Parts: sequence; C-alpha cells; structure tokens
Amino acid sequence: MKAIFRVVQLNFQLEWSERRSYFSILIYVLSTVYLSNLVFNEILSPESWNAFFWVIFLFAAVQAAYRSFYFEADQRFLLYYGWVKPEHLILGKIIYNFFYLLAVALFTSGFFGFLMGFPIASPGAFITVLTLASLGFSSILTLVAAISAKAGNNPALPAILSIPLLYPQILTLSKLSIRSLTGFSWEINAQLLIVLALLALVSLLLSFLLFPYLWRD
Amino acid sequence: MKGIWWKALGIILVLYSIIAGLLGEVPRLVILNETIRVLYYHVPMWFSMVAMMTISLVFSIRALGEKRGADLRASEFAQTGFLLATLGLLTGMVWARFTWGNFWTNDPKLNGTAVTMLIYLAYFVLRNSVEDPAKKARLAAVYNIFAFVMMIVFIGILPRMTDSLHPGNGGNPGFNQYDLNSDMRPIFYAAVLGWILIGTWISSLRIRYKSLSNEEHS
Amino acid sequence: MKNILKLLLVALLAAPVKLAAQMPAVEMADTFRQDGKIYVVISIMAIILLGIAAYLFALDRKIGKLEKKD
Repeated sequence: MKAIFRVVQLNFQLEWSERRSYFSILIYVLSTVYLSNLVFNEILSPESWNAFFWVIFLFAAVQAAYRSFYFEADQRFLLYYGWVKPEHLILGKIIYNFFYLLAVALFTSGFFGFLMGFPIASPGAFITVLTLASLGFSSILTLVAAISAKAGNNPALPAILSIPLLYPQILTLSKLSIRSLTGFSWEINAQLLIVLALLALVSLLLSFLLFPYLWRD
Repeated sequence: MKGIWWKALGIILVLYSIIAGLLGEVPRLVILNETIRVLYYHVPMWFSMVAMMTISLVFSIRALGEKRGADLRASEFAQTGFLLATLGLLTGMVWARFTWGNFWTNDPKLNGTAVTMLIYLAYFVLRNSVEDPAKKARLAAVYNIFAFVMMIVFIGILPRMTDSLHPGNGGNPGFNQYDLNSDMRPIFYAAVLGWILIGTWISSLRIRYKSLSNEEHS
Repeated sequence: MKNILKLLLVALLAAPVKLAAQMPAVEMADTFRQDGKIYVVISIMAIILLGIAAYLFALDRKIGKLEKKD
C-alpha cells in the first residue's frame, strides 16, 4: 500500500517538475473546445453536446495518459526496477492517471459548459459517469501506454491501440450521459451504471494481471 | 494436428450445409422469405470467427509463459478469424441491403463487428511495429488477451442491453429459439463445425508455411 | 360422449389447416424449386467449395513436402 502511494507521489513530483505536459493538455482542451464552439455557431442540442464532449475528452485522455511511461522506457525505468514491484507500479500509475483524467474531465466539462452552455439536468449523475469513465479510461490507457512505450514510442500507436478497446465503455458512457443531460432516473439506469462499473473493474483487473508480463525484460 | 480426416470432415460438413440448406424446408416468414437460409452461410462466419479468436487467445496465454511458437500461432489464428469476420461482414451487408434497405445500419451487432475488426487491426499493427521476436510475443500476447475480453463484452454483453434489428431480436421475425426449428438446427450446427475445421486448417497451413520461412531465415 | 370426442378430434385436426389458410401466403421461391433450377445453384456452390478444398489439399501437400526436406 505504501509502495503504491509512493509511486503516485513520485509520479506527481516528476510530472510537476515538467509542467509543460500539463499545460499541453490544457491547451489541447482549450483549443478543441473553442474550435467546436466556432464550428457549431449556435445552441447545441443535448445530443450534439454529448457527442462533442465525449470525443474531446477521449482524445484529451489518450494524450494525457500517453506520457505515463514516457520516461520509464529508458532511464527512470532503471530507478524503479530496484525497489518497485510491477504490481505496485501499475496500480500507482492507474491511480495517478485516474485523478489526472478526472481533473481533465472536470476541466473539459467546465470550459465546455462555459462556452456551449450547461444542458445538464442531473449534475450528480453526470459526475458519477465522469468518475467511472476516468477509472475505466485510466486502467486501459495506462496499460496501452506501457505497451506503446515498450514498442518504441511510435506516436500513433497509443490512439490506434486504445480507442478500439475503449469503444464498449464509450458506448455505455454516452448512453448514460445523454440521460444525465435530459433527466436521470437512478432506478432505470442502475443496470447501465453497473455495467459501466464492471467494465472499469474488468479493465483494472486485466491491467493489473497482465502488466508484470509486460514489464519484465 | 496431422491427418486428413478432419480436413475432409470440414469440407463434407460445409458441403452438406450447402445441399441440405438449399433443399430443406424452412419456416415461411415475412420480410425474411427465402433469405432465412442465409443462417446457414452468414452466421457460421461469426461463430467460426469467435472460435478462431478463442484459439488465438489460448495461444496468447501460452505465449506469456514464453512458450516457443505460441505467438506465431496466436497471430495466424487471429488472421484467419479476421478473414472470416470480413466475409461475414460483406455477406451481412448484402443481406442487409435487401432486407433492411441499407448496407450499413447502426445495429449493435454490426457495431460489435466493426469494433472487433478494429481491435484486431490494432493487434496486427502492434505486431508489425515491434522487431525483436521475444518482445513482440509478449506485447502482442498482452494486447490480444485484453482485446479478446473487450470483444466478448462488445459482441456478447452489450447487444443484450439494447434492441437489435437482427432477426430474433426486438420483435423481429427470425431465428430465435422458437423459430430455429428442428429442421434448421442440425444443418446450422454442421455448417458452424465445418467452418471451424476449415478455419483451423487454413491457420495450420499458414503456421507451417511461416515456420518454414522463419527457419530458412535463421 | 363418443360424438363429442369425434368432434374434438376433427376440430384438432382441422385447426392447423385453418390457421395456415388464415395466414397471408409468404412468398417463397416455389416455382424456382419446381423447375429444378435450385440444383443448378447447388452444383455451382458445391463446385466452388470443392475447388477451394482441392486447392487447399494441394497446398497442404506442398508444405508437407517442404517440411520433409528439412
């Protein structure tokens, strides 16, 4: 437990020392949201709001998580190898990415709402969906980032590898979030929420189980 | 898997599905009409695709244990599965054009197929972008296991949560358990088994060819 | 009693016929079958399948020979 926390802490310190990666995500979100505002020069229907939001968040998330193992592929990897077990490393990275993606999601929805209006009928439901999304995304994207770092940092690889894997989640998510925009009933949507939570859990478990095989060299 | 009998069995089963499938009695249903017979030719593509991907998964799990040659087998079975998926998609599109009026609809089953094909395309891209064989085997195996689970979720679980245009779903006439009558069932299962055997045969040919050319290189 | 049973039997036997008559006739390729043209389709599909099978068997033998050489 302590080791996992240590990984999260160290990861944050190292990323903070190179703040430009945070800024690049920030600018990415700002410019894409503004672009969709320019292109869609009118009030968005909740359906288009939903579609735009998830596409922007998806690509921001892929960008953000892509850097997870950017350094480990060569130098920092040696540093970790001595004292961190791969199981702890992957959990730490997933936890770190979970908070990171959640922050990106909240920021994106905030700025998106600022420009395009907030047609959200049930904010509680929307934030629940965002949290589950961040958890599922971070489990898959962290593992994919590890794979693509090992495959030699080909910049197109993370998107190619992760987006098909994310489809089941995105489909469930967008269905749920459109309901949170138009009016949400917890009883009716409990089933979909459980599916989403299970999807996130399965991805987490798979990443946890498969990562050690990836990491030994 | 040596021996000729199972290869011949595969051909005979598919041949049987062609002859009996076209001659046999089928339920007379509106919209579907004679195209209900597509069940014998289009649906087995999906069943055998899932079978090929399952075999590929087994070899990928063995590749994690550093088993020699398992990675090659996993990849070749996935390729055959991809071929079957392509054939299934094309035949399905022709059928959909004349039954639903469009080549493509946003049906959960169609989306499932499209996503499955994208996932396996990504798997092939990943394999091609790594040089070192040992590393390639490990990365590809990890991705394949993940891919398989997501495929099962997408084609097995999510479609059950929404209505599908496909026969048998959501008030469509078609081959659900009541309509897939006793005349049709044996022919359908024969076709599925036959295609699985033929798919295994094609994969084994490719595996043997690839391992021969690998030996020549080394 | 016997009469009632008889009546019931007749009604049971006639029921499917009546049902079938009520259903709108679904169009199937019945004339096509009566003409025997379906055998043409079957032969064509069988020839294609057997042709592919022969090709695969030939390929199988070729690879087998190469394997023996090594």
